Amino acid sequence: MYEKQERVFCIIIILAFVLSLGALGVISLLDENPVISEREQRELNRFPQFSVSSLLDGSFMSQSQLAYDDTFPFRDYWLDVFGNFRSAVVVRAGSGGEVIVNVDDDPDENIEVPEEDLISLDDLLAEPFDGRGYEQFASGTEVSGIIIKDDRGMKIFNGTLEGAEAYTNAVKKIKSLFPNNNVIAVVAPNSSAFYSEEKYHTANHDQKAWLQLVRENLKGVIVPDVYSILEEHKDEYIYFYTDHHWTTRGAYYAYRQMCTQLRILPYELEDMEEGRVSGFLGTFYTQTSSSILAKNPDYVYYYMPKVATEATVYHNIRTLSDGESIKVINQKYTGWNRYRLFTDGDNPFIIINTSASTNKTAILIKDSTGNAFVPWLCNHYSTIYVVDPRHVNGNNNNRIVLAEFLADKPNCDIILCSFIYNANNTSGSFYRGLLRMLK
Amino acid sequence: MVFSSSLFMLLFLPASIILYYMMPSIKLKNAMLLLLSLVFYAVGEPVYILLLIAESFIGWLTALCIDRSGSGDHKKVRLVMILMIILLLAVLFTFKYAAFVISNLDRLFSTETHIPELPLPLGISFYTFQIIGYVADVYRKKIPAETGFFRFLLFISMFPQLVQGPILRYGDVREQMESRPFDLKQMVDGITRFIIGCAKKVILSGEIARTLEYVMENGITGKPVLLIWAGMICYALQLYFDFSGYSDMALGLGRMLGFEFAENFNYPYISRSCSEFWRRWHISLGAFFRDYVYIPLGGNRRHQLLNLLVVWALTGLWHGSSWNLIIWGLYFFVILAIEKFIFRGKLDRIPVINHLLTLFLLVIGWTIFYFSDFSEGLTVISTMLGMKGAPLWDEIHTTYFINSSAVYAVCILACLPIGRKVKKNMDILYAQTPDFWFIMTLVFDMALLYLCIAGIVGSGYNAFMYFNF
Repeated sequence: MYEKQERVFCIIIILAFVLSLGALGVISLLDENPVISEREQRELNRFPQFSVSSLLDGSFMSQSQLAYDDTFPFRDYWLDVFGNFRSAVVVRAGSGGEVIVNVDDDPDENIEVPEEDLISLDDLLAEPFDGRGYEQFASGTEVSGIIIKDDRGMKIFNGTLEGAEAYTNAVKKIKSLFPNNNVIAVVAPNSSAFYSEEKYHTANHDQKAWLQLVRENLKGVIVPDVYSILEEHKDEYIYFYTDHHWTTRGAYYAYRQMCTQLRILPYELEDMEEGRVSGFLGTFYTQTSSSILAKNPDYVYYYMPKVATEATVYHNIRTLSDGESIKVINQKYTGWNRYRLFTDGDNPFIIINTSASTNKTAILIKDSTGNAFVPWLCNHYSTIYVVDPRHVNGNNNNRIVLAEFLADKPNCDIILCSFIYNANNTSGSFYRGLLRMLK
Repeated sequence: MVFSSSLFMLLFLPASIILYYMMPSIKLKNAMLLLLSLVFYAVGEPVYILLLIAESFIGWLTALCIDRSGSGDHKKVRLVMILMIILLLAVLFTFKYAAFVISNLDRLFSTETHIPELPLPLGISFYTFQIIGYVADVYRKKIPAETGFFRFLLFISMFPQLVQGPILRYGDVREQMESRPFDLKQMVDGITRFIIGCAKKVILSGEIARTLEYVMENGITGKPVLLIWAGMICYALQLYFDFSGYSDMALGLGRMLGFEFAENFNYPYISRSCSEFWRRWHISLGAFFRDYVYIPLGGNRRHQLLNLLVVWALTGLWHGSSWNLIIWGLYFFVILAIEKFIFRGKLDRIPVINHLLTLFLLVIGWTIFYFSDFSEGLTVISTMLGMKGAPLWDEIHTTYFINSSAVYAVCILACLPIGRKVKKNMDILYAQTPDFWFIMTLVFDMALLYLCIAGIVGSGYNAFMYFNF
């Protein structure tokens, strides 16, 4: 019925189809399954334990499918292929070749904190929040996603009056609990304030105005003007291109500003021992898989503290029984997320003892912005307690009540260090974790 | 199991094709296909597979009784058929609509009834109709009843069409169950069709869905008019690529196994009227309602308007149990009635306007379809029509749309009947210069498959910020 040649052609196509899929299938059954994805910063789904009940309710098969998807042969390779494809079909806009990539919201925001665990801030009306002159934050377009412009990833800030009020109320509450302690609120703008098109940092996206609003409403609290000093130095490498964090240099300028306000002498950058780790593709890359960002990986610079440091991570905060020694700066860090070389990433609770002879202590309540800030603080405090409210989960053993914690530490400086969008986000786990600490 | 999942693509599909073609005879091939189909279904529905088998058995037995009774007691035969249809519909109702009806009754009488949560068994809306259609055809003596139960079960459960159709007619596949000539070219066509369907679903539908997400993020209040239009147009495209892509995959799989199923989509968005749209969109469902509801009720001959109303209320309901879907069905009833009785096809003949008007009405229709809360849908529609005073456009969204413009262009091209022309030319090429055809097909199939696999892996990609190991 066919010419011989045509038969051969058809058979080749059929075999190419069946065997290429089948070969991947066989490999998927034989290869070793990874447990975590460095690239996605998550634990991969695991194959479930078999049981008759899980088979009958369908969960066994659905979980198995998730696990099978996650252990696809050469998964990272396929992710690169798809990422490159998606970048290739994007039509870049404007002179900076702007791209907006819509990404899933941080699942981090979804960590549930029950309402009854939080302090209510309704009783703070003594000095009401004054948002006059900042009506731009009362409404406005909310823009999500990541902008990529001139090879730099940026997150768009959507400021609200509600967020500013909530943040200032929480900080005021801390000040009212500890009137004799230094309370310092460091809020880091994100890079879109300095490098994005005007429309992304004006109106309700205006970080300068939002920070100004917070400062005006935080009398009695030390609020370093981080924005101005970063703006002055915006031509330096103060933000990563592929990651949402500031660099250690960005953190350094915030530290300088803080020192000025505390009337202490900051260290000069030139006097520090500098080092760097290369090849860093940060969260903007992992979230967008953009080949524009992949072409231009970041360096993570670090400056060793002038003092000796000894850092210990605890998960059991009540008994402090499960200490695990870490490094404030891990020069040998080679994992995917190079920003983790600072304090080994986000940990719920770290105690750092230093050889600084100041005899001063501080508690740093921070999100990941604070990780690059820690090495600078080490030079000035003999003991630093680093708390990440997002990861102190509120269980009996893993809980900090600020009033109790600071009861025997009368002169402890209380430093908050967070991203502007965590400060503004009243439903985020940073803010909610903070309220739980005040309960 | 979804066709575009890694489990299906890497394990089930290649294993099925190899096992199927290892069988030496058509009988064994059918047996193997039945076994594979039951495995395919059991992976998703380990319990309700029994329901599928039981319903098939009832349908098979009823048809056999009808057939055996010959031209005997007509009334009795009719009664048996009606009872069976009621039984099958009752089961469908229990799973699909009971909770909806009870919650509405509760609202009406301010009571609170405890409703046990029932999952909707996979494909039940499709196979119920397939069984009913079959029994009705036997009753009308269009086809003889199938004597072998397993052959009938194969017809109902055949994995390419089990979960999302097309709704097959037994008359169309009966002969193919008995003998299917092994045709290499047909198999290659099936592979190409499958890959195209996969690309439509995984890549086009996936990419266009991102715009919809972008528009819908954080709700639509205060958003500009054109942005919402863009979102809803993307939704229309997403539905088309998702569903027609799935149908393409089903047809392609069928061809790989030697079956020819009828087309389920025929470039619906080039329609000049909504009536035409419904002859081009989900064809097997429209045909089912036409042949088993509309015509038996009297069709064009008796109370046509009422017949139309029934069909469209049912079409709405078939898509799910919520008010907006019923309203969506009635919306099309009104439009189709106007097209039929007032314009009588005159509007179809005005070029450009007819297309634009049809697309406009379709997008509004999909907006009703999208919002399960009808009052929300209504607000959105009035915003889209400029009745809420929302701004036309907001500069800040421009970049996003420029970025995706290539995707939109491809999607719009893919809605036009270009594919059919290419296919025709490929067939000519095959007849004239098979060498060239071979290289083109091989490169096209493999390149697209490569991209599809990347897309399947990419769709499971979840970059978590801040995750603590």
